[in-house]
Amino acid sequence: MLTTENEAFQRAVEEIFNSCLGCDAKLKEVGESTTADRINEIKGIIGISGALCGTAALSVSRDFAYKATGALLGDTPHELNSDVVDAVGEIVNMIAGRARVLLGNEATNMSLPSVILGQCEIAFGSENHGTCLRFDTAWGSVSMELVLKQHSKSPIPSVTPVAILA
Amino acid sequence: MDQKVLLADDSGVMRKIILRALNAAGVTDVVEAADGAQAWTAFQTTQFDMVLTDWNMPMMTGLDLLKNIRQAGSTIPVIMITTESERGRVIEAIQAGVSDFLPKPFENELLQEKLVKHLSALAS
Repeated sequence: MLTTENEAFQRAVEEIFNSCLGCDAKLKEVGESTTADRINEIKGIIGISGALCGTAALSVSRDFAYKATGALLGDTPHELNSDVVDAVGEIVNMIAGRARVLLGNEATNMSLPSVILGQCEIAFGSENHGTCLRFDTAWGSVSMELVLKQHSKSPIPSVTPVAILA
Repeated sequence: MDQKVLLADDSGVMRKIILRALNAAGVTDVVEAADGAQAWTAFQTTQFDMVLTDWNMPMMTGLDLLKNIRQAGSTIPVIMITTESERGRVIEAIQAGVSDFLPKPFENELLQEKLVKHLSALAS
């Protein structure tokens, strides 16, 4: 069982990319989210509630999203279509699901994934500082932004509010 | 095989992946549903031989869909294909009457294996 959320999400990204996409991912650095993380223009976002509350957002380039869709479906799209959006949503869904298993934390629930198109920054609010896991992959850089809190005694599960800044 | 299969998943990409596996297993008569409520409506109006369903879906979860199917008296195979693979969730699904469980991400070979197993049981 892993002890930290960062560690769980790192391993989940590496495992899902490798097993589902055939794309090796290697953690480059961990730091606070910055405006530099806006460069990738497709974000898959998923809310987590319960004992562990927060949000996880995977940011990938358009080219990465096309290649990932191709890896899942067999045909690589050449334009941004519903398959690409669904693929990014499904990938972040599988990453969050895998991270939850690695954390051994059953008292959490995941929202349905959302996908945001266009360069934007995720603002986590004044009391929440997002952590960004930055990865190098064969298809370019990707990042996983996390804002997660342990709420094991909280009677009211909640998802951390976020704002999307264009 | 001439079995009729109901496939429920809110992800179009996942439906395509599973549909491809079904086709490879010889199943071509597949009704797709993009959420649990749509799947339940389809189930009430059509005779299916098997249901493949995600857990987390809008409108109605796969677990509630499974419970509805069993409460309606149906014993057909229902396979959950989902990221909800923790022990507690698996037990919850088993108690609700799930026939088999396939955690995402899955190897295509394993999905094929489960499909052939349940479809062969139907054919015999």
